[in-house]
Amino acid sequence: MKPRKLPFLLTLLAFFLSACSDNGMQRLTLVTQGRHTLAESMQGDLIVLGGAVTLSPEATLHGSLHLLRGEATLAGRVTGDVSQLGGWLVLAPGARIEGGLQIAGGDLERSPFSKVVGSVNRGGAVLFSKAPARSPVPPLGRLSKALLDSLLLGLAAAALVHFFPGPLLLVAESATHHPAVSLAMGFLVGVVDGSLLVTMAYTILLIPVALLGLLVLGAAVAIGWIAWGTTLGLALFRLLKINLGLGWAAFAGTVAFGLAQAGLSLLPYLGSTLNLLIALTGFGAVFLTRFGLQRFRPQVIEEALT
Amino acid sequence: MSFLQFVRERNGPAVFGYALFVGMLSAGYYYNLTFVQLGLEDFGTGWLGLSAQGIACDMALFALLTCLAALVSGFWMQRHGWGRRFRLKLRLAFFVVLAQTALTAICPLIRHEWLFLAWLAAAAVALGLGVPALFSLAVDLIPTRDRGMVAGLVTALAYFAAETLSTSWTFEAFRAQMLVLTASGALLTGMLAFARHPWLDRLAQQHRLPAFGRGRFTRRPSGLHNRLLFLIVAMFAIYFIDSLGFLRLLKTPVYMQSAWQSPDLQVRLFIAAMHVAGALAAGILYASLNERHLFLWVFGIFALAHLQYSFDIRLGPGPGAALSMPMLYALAVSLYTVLNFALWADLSTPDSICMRSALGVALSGWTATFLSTALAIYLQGVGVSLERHIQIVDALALLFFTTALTLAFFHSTQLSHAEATS
Repeated sequence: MKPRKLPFLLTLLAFFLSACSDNGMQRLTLVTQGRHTLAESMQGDLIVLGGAVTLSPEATLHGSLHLLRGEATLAGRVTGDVSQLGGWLVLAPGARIEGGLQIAGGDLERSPFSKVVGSVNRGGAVLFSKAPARSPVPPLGRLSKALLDSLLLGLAAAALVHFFPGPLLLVAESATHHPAVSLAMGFLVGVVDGSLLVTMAYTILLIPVALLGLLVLGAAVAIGWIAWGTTLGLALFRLLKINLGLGWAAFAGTVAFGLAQAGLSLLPYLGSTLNLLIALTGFGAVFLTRFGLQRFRPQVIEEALT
Repeated sequence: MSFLQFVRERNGPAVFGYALFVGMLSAGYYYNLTFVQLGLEDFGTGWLGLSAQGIACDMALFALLTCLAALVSGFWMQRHGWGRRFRLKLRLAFFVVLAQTALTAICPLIRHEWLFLAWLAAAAVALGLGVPALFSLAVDLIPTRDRGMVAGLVTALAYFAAETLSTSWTFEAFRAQMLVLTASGALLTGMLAFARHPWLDRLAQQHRLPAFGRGRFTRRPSGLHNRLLFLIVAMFAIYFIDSLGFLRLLKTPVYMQSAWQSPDLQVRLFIAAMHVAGALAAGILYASLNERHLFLWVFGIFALAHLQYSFDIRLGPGPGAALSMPMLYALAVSLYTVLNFALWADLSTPDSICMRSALGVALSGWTATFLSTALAIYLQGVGVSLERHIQIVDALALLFFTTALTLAFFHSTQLSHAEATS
């Protein structure tokens, strides 16, 4: 790798990591065995891999709860989401979940006096929102956030295209010329690798590897988005007969793409489905081209001349 | 030539051919998945009072007889050149469906095990004859370019129906469904087999077109036999792993009740959706990637699924089981089923399709089922625990994955070397 690309990559990595939370720090608590009672407020996400956790009525979990195995009894407040892959979840009277409740496995015992503010989804690993996601941010705030996110992604796109133009264009080519194959590959990699990372996390020792894997997958999603954005930018520039170079096309196209995605997400069901399909296609294109290292050439089924 | 091209050209016979092939194969596979693989076991244990070991032995014998019947039928059809005779194959399919209708109808009359064995023998002959008869219709009805997608569609339909329509895995429920299906199927295939219609005459000539008759892998005849052998071995390994693992999971209520037999419709719909998505993805990838990629995915996913099951078992019985395990299982099953429906026709011409499809399906599918059932009986008989059983299956899946990866690596190295020196 050329030395001048390394600072860029580290900057990009820091950029993505800094987007993880407001203050740049992420806290995570893991419970693997024993019985634990949270009587006071707790910051960060809570992952239960075994044992039992009880959230007292006066306690608040400022984060999300992920129950993979074991038991979780909630009598207090959870400000984030609660997701259950297995185990036993009890929502006691007075329990309050500010985010959504996702049940993909295990058993749930829910008191009629418990409250889930967000949506309740059962049975699948993919969430299809029944309604636009509730957010305390007013519409103008949402628009500003979407614009800011798109601008940041656009900057990343311009930087990526500057340092790695060839690979990015190969990814874009795969996504646009072979969308069905890219989508199929994206689906397979997404489902299988997601399960693989969760399985790694089960071993406890491989949690750092799982987190690294998650980072790689996240990077692949981002590169896929940038590839789409670059394609959009080049198409727009061709249409408007503008010739400002690949960097500006990538920036403008990715900003437009980000805003379009934010707009699509307002449509119930259809919007999130389309966004998911587009993301999976870009994601699959990244893997088909080995992160842009080689052009994807589909097998040609020739027809004999005789 | 492709489906969209036929639609644009308003080629009615060709489009009808697609519908006919998809309908026949998905209905046939649905029958096999539900009534044969699940319903007969319930019949044996619930109606005849046979022990679990007893019914397992009978089913293993059934698999062996079906394998033999398929091989004999395939050989006979190839020897007499029936691969080129569309009408005759359609009539054979009609007789197979008629026989299956009759056998399904008379099943409740069976009261003794020896009668059941005779019934199984008759069913094995019908099923065995059906394999080359139905699979060989691919050279008449589906152009090479679309075989992957059509295989995906057949797989998606069969598994979606099996998962959503089969609320009760009992003999009575399956029999009631199958009587309707096979009777209407017999009526339809009978009309098509014996009626005269210009569309059928057109379909009967399609195998002469290179786009239909020449399989994808026959373009380069050298190495075809090695490829056939490799694919039979690979498919055998897949069927063996799947059957050996699932036979034991079937006996574990917590894994069945939380997934395939869940009373919650949303859970069953989720698994059905995974089957459909996996089948369509496999259909798309089959046409675009080397088939070895799909084999690697199948072995890898089976290894991961069984690893998750063994973790779950090792951590101790929980109140429920995660959906990620059946999700991966459904994905792997869809992938390899698509391969099974597409590969044999792509290795063949009209002159060789009957024997090759019989060899492929009989030696890989039915032989693997027979051997894995026998092994599962043995393992249970010697008291092997569920955890150990799943670990054995996982180890096999990992072994095959590693072997396939190694072979793929050396093959691509050979190709690179050949390109460099040419």
